[in-house]
Formats: sequence, structure tokens, C-alpha cells
Amino acid sequence: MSSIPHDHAAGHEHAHEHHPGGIMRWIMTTNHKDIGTLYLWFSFTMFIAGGIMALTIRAELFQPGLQLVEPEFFNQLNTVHGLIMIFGAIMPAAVGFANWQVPMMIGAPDMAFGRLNNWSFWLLPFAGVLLLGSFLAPGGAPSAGWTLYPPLSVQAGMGMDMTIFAIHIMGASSIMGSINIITTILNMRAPGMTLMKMPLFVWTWLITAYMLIAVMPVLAGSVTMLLTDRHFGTSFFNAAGGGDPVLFQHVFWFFGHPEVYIMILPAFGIASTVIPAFARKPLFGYASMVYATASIAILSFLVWAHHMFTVGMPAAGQLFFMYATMLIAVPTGVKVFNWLATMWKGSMTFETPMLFAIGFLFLFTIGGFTGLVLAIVPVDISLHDTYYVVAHFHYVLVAGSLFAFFAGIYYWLPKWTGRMYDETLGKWHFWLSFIFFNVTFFPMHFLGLAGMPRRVPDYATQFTDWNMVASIGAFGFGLSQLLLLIAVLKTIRSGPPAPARPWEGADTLEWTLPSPPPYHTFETPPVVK
Amino acid sequence: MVDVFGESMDRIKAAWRIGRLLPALLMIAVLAPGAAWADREWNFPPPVTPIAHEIFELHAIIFWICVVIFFVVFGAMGYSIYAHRKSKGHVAEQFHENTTVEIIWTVIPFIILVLMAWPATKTVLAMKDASAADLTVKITGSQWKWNYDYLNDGFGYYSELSTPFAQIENREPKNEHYLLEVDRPLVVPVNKKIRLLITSSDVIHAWYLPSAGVQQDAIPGFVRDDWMKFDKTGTYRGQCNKICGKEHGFMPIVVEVKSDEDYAAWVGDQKKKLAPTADDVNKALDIKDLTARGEKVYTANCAACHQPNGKGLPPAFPPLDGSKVATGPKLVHISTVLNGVTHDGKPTAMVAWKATLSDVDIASVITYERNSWGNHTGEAIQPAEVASAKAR
Amino acid sequence: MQPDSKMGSQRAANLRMATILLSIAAVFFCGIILAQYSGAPAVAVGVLGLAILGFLGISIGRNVGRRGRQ
Repeated sequence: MSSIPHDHAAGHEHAHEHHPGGIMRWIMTTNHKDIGTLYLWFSFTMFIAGGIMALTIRAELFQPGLQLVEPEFFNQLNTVHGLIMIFGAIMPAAVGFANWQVPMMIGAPDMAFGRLNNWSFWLLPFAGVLLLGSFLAPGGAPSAGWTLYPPLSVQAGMGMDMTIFAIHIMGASSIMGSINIITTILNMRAPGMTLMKMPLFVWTWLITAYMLIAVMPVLAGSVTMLLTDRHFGTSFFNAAGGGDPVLFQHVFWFFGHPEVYIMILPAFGIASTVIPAFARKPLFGYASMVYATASIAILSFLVWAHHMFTVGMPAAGQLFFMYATMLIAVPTGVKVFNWLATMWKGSMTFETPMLFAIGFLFLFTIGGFTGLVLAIVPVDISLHDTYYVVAHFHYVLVAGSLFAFFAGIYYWLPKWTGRMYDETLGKWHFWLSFIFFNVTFFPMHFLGLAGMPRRVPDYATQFTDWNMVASIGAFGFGLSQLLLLIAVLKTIRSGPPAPARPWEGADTLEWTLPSPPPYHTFETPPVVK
Repeated sequence: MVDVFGESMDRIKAAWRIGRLLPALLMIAVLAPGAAWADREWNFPPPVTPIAHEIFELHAIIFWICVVIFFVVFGAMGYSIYAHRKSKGHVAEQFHENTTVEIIWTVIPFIILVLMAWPATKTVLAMKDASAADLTVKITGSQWKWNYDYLNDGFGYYSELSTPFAQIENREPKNEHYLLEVDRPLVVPVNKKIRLLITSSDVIHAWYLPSAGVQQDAIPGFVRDDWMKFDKTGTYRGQCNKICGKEHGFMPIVVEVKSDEDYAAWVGDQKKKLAPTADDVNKALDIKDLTARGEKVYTANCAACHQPNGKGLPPAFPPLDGSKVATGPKLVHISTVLNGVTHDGKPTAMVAWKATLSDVDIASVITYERNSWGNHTGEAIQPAEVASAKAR
Repeated sequence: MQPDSKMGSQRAANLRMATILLSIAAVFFCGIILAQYSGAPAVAVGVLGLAILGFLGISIGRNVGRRGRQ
């Protein structure tokens, strides 16, 4: 992916840069870089909020008995932790990366729809306030788990309505963001940037955006039906009125499983960008990576019921969803092997982005193995809704998505800020995160095998030891994340100036721009050979 | 030469020993205050049904396949990280495609998956076959206890947590089976195929007994079936495994598996208890007896929400201490307990107790509530009053 | 081509694409609710699910593998 050098001086001649200063700059901005920054800071704020909830949960579970919080409040923490981390932290972070990187990587001047982009972001703080504000509502925040299964979620107080509205708003934001990203990618590439020349990060986001448009309306529809069941006397999910509570689960997971891949595909894209850069070697099997991503996306729509093996579906249903789920291991395996082959016979260095990318590869694969174990119906019957599942999805979401996002932050921070981060701090952040992550979540496999249910505020004494280990790890992991904040702030305030291309092996278009890039870039499109 | 070799071998061995010791030392440092290693859980509980045995073995097979793949893949990655680094002067090669290799690593995982799916399929089909059962038990989940109905023998009962509050609130040392003990376990015979009909009366629960390999959601309005057949007698424990509200973590399942003779004797006992109706509704009772009995009923059924001190957990669970209902007209109080509370036509967490508790129990608990904490009405509610309110 | 008209035509193309995507999302949203009111909700939801899968297959499929496409 080479390009002719772009005349940067030209960028400044287009002097329509009369953007307002101060806070109004951020409120009014239609600039993809500003909006990307807003998304990333919003996501970090939510990450801290969700993290504090997680630590409260782990503190309560440090030993058996009730110590800190009432069971009802514990359930609220559990529910909102899940919702905040998924809709407030991981998804906005991915959109933040897309905003910063997609236009620069395809040589576009900005996103296709600037004002839509501004609106997509500014909806999120309102959704966040609604979601967190539900703690103050009479009856408290929703406590039915992030999956909001009726009839339990129909029983809940007003906090549930606030959450439903928050989900509507976040869904609208996601759909608008996806429309923007798809249009930008399909219509605004620089001359010569054919689809099969695009960096893999752009590819994964194109596919993710399509998935979002396919499933966010389904989620919005299902929570709307929940709302009308709660207040307007419908009985979509109420057996007494002729409905079916299991229908909600089907519809929810028809959204929910693709959602899992919505959260991981951009992470795959970042890993596919970072690993070749630090191996100083082109990505192995570019075309097969694109095909694997596309097949994962399609297959992810055919496996939703593996979240529901215990609802009592016919054997034929269980077998179909088991086979389809196992089949996803094939394209996922292809991806892992391709990353490995990219590293093979390269010339590797291990700066922080590479460390996080390797950490991602290693731990995500473990999460993939446990996913395979859970795909086996009879085994899942014994492990469904236990801590084994909690371990599994934290391996793929925290060590998967989040670690890849960390890799992306350290990788692009020099470009975004024009300053280098502190390598020592970055390495400390990686190693502490890596070690404490495993201390936290590895023991949960044992807890799940032994039969400890998830979402319980108290547990039998035989589960004590592993819970203590997990709680200690959780506090270590949580505190380690402050290092990320310190590293980023230190970079912004006092990092040494970064060259245009600080990474020897980085070859995508954004590295042809100066660091930091001017406010408007690629107004004259570069020509890609 | 030999010496040098021996010395380096010693060094490697020493390093290996430290390498092995380090994690262990770390773990001991972390876990020293905990119990002995032997108590710690690593795997499924010992399986006690044929299905649970199959699950145990399926998991073992898949686990070891994953372990092998793990070492092959990360062995290669480890070698690459060691050998192909810039600091060692390795120069990057520029290959980026190899169709043969790509086909191989698509096909081999596929074959491995087929090998895994084969035994799993057989177990799935076996698990679904609930036919030809010797005994049928209907299990109904409700917030937050289980009801077991012996359909063949015409009796049934509730089973709920028996761990005292004081232990949950850390005021007393915890029992051996803390949170996994109930007042009345499900009792079943050994070596008999037991068909389970599982449903719920309010929200979704899940009947989960790991050592039997059984987990089935209890869905209101629908009845699902499942089965189990125990290899040996004993007591096996599980929990509700689908979030069902505040007391989700306090809804254990205990199954006592008895020999045929013991089981037959137990069934005989249950039927005997059933025969004479326990209490005479028309007998007037003394306020002291009513209050004493009422306290027991309250602790078992009401204290979870309204709290042992009657203060409740407002706003979801209102206090009874000083409340309008518990100090106002007694008919309102009786009707609230009998019929529950609805809000906008929908049932709330305050369910109707008339189906669950006897008239004497309801009279006792109302008497207790009206004469405890700061409530001093001095009224004794007689079972006959409850019976007449119910009839109305 | 004049830069202005080129910009204009790109803007029109962008808007066209956004409208199509937005209406697809709207159809899915309404569809999932209206399906419950049809005579056979299970079938209706199934049809909608297939439509969603079809949308995904077509939209991704038509882009994947087009080396020459600008």
C-alpha cells in the first residue's frame, strides 16, 4: 500500500479553518479527528465508570456472606456494568478509532456526513446519563442482567424504562455512525485505493458497520416491545397474554451474537495493522483475512441460539446451532494462523502496541478455545450461566477487544498528538494488565466448572479461594488502567515530538501525513498506486 | 567439554526448578490465608448420572485437544518471538501468501471439529430422551423457592434455603453447606429414571444440578421436560441458575438420592402426613401461640424482602414496622397477605400467599406482624377470620 | 470534470446511499415488531431474519474480492 507523497503545505491553503475555540469547538465540531477524540474520551470515562462497578462487585465477592452491598443493588451493578462496558466503552471506542483512522487510511478529507457525525456522538452522553441516572430512579437501576430477560425485566421499576430509552438512543447513534462509515468507505476513497487495497482495519469496520445496520434495529425493536409490555398492556413476551418469554431471548440474541462480533471485528482490524508494522513484514493472507472476516460476520447471524441451549429446544435445533457455532472456529482459526504467519520470519520489535497485539492474540485464542468448549451442547448444559461463561467472554472482550484497542491507542497516539508516549510506562501498563487480567479471569474457569452461578451476590464456601484470587486480580487490573490515563496525559503534555512515521514498518496512508496531522487532511486526494 | 556441558545443564535445571517454583510460591503467598490445596475446585463435580459421566468425558476430550492445539500454535509463536526478532538481527522476509498452507490450516481444523461434534451429537440425542420414566416430578420455580410435586404419588412441597440470616450477614460462622442447604430436599430413588417437568410461576428460573448434568430453564407458562438417573445414593447440591431477582443467589437445590427401600418408606411417610389435615381452622388460638408460630412463618417467607427487623428495603420492599397496612384495619391486612399486591393490574413482588400458606400460618404471621417491632395493636387474628376473608 | 460538480455528484451519491441504508434499518425495526401481529409470528420473524441475512450477504458479498473496483 504505497502512495505518492502528499503536498502538506497545500492543506493549509484551504483556510476555511474558522472553527470556534474552547468548548464550542467540541460541541459544534464536524471534524472527524475532533469527533474521534470525543468518542475515545467518552469511552474512557464510561470504562472507568463500568470499572468502578466491577470493582464493587469483586469487593463484595471477595468472601462469602454479604458485606458491602445489598443483593438488589448488586444485581443493579452487574446489569449496568455490562450495559455500560458494551454500549458505553467498547462500541464508542471502536467508533472513535474509525473516526480518526478511516478517512486518513483511505485518503478521504473527512467523513461523508460531518453534521450527522457530530450528532451521532452527542447523542451518547445523553444515553450515558440516562443509563447511569437510573441508579437514582425509584427502585434503582435495572437489575435483570444486561440481557434484560422478561418477565423479570417487566417487574422492574422506572430505571428499566430509562435504560430502554438509553438503548434506543445508543442504537440510533450506532446506526447513524455506521451509515456514515459505510458511505465514507464506499464513496470517498482516494484514486487508486481499490477495495482490496484498503487496510484491513477499514475492511473490518466496513463489515462491522453493515452488521450494526442489520442488528441494531432488531435490538431497538425488541426493547420497544419490552416497553409496551411494561406500560401499554401488550403481551409480546407474557405467556398469560398469549406471548412467549423465550421469543425475547431469540430476538435479543439475534442481535446479541452479531454484537459480539461487532465488538471484536474492529479489534481484529487493529491487530492486523499493528502486527505487520512491528514484524516489518506484509500481512500474511490479506485476501483470506477479508474472506474470513466476511464469513465470520455471516456465520454470526446463524448461531444466536447457542446462548439459549438450556431453554429446552428440540434436539434438531440444538444440533444445528452447535454445528454452526463450531464452524465459526474455522475462519477464526484462519485469522489466528495468518497473524502467526505474519510474525513468522519477520524482524520483530516489541514496543507497547506490539506487546498488546501479542497479548490480544494469545488471550483471545484462549477465549476461542473456551468458546469451542461452550459450543458443545452437553458441556454447555453444565456450564451455561456459570462463571466459566464469565471467564470466556471476558477473555474475548477484555483481552480481545480491549487489549487490541490499547494496542491501537499506543500505535496511533504519536500520530494523533504529534508526541511520543513513554515506552516504559506503556510496558508497565501492558505487563500489569496482562498479569492481573489472568489472575482475575483464569480462576473463573475453575469456579464455573465447579458450578458457581454467575450474577450471585454470595456463594457457597467451597468457591471462596478462587473468588479471593479473582478479586485481588480485579483490583490490580483496575488500578493498572490508571497507567493508561497517566501515559496518555503525559504524552499530550510533555511527550517528545513524534516524527511523521515513528514506526519503521508502518505503511498505511496516515503515516504520510505529519504528526500531528493538520486539522484538514487529504483535501486533495493522494493517488494510491 | 563434558564439564561445561554438565555445568550448563545444571544451570538449566536450576532455572527450571525456580521457574516451576515461582508461580507456586506466588500462589502460596496469595492463598496462604485460604484453605488447603486439596479443597480447591479444578473441574466438574464428580458425575453421578450417566449423562453427567458423558459430559465429563466430552469436556475432557475437548479440553485436551485444545491443550494440544494451544501448545502447537503458541510453541510456534514463542519460537518466532524468540528467533525472528530485530534485536537478534533477523531480517524480515517478504512472503505474504501461500495457498497450500492456507488450505491446510482451513481443512485440518474442520476435520478436528467433525471429530469433536460426533460424540457430542450422540450425547445430545441421549439427553433429549425422557421417555420410559419410572417417576415424574414437577418442579415449579417461584421467587425464591422451588416446589416439588410428586405427580405419581399426589403430594408436593416447597423447598427453600435453610441457611440462617445470621450466617449470611456474617454474624455467625458459616455451615459446611452454607447457601446450599434447604429445609426439605427433593428426594428420589437411585437407579430409576426420573422425568422432570420444569416450569415457573413468575419469572424465569433455571433448575441446575451440576453433578447430574442437568440444567433446564423454568419458564412461566411453558413446561419443559428433562430427566436424570442416579448411579449412587447421596446428597447432591445445585442452585437456581438464571437471574430471578433479589434472592437469586439464595435459591438452592438439594437432591437426596435414596435406596429403593428408603425411598418407599419416605413416600409412605409423606402420604401419612397428608392424611389428617394438619390444623383445625375453627379452633381459636392464643395470641402467644399465634405470634410464636407467626415468627417462624415470617422468617421463612417474608423476611427476605421485608427484612427480619420489619424495616423493608424501600422503595421496592416497603417496611411493615409502623406501616398503614400492619397497624390499620385488619381486613385490609388479611386481604393483602391473601391476595398480594398488584400495580396497574400487574402482580408485584408481593405475591398472593393464599395458595402457599395455610389459614393458620396466615393468621399467625399477620398476628406476628401486628404485634412486633413498633407495632402494638394487641390484636390476635384467628384462622377462622382468614378463612372467611378467603371465602369472600 | 469541474471540482464543484464532482463534489456535488459525490454529495448526491452519499445522500442516496445514506437514505437506502437508513430505510433498510427502518424496515428491520418495524418488521420485527409488526411480525408479532401477523398470523404466524414465528414464520414472519423467520422471513425477516432471512431478509437481514440476505442484506448482509449481498452488501458484503458485492464488495468482497473486487480487486479492480474503485
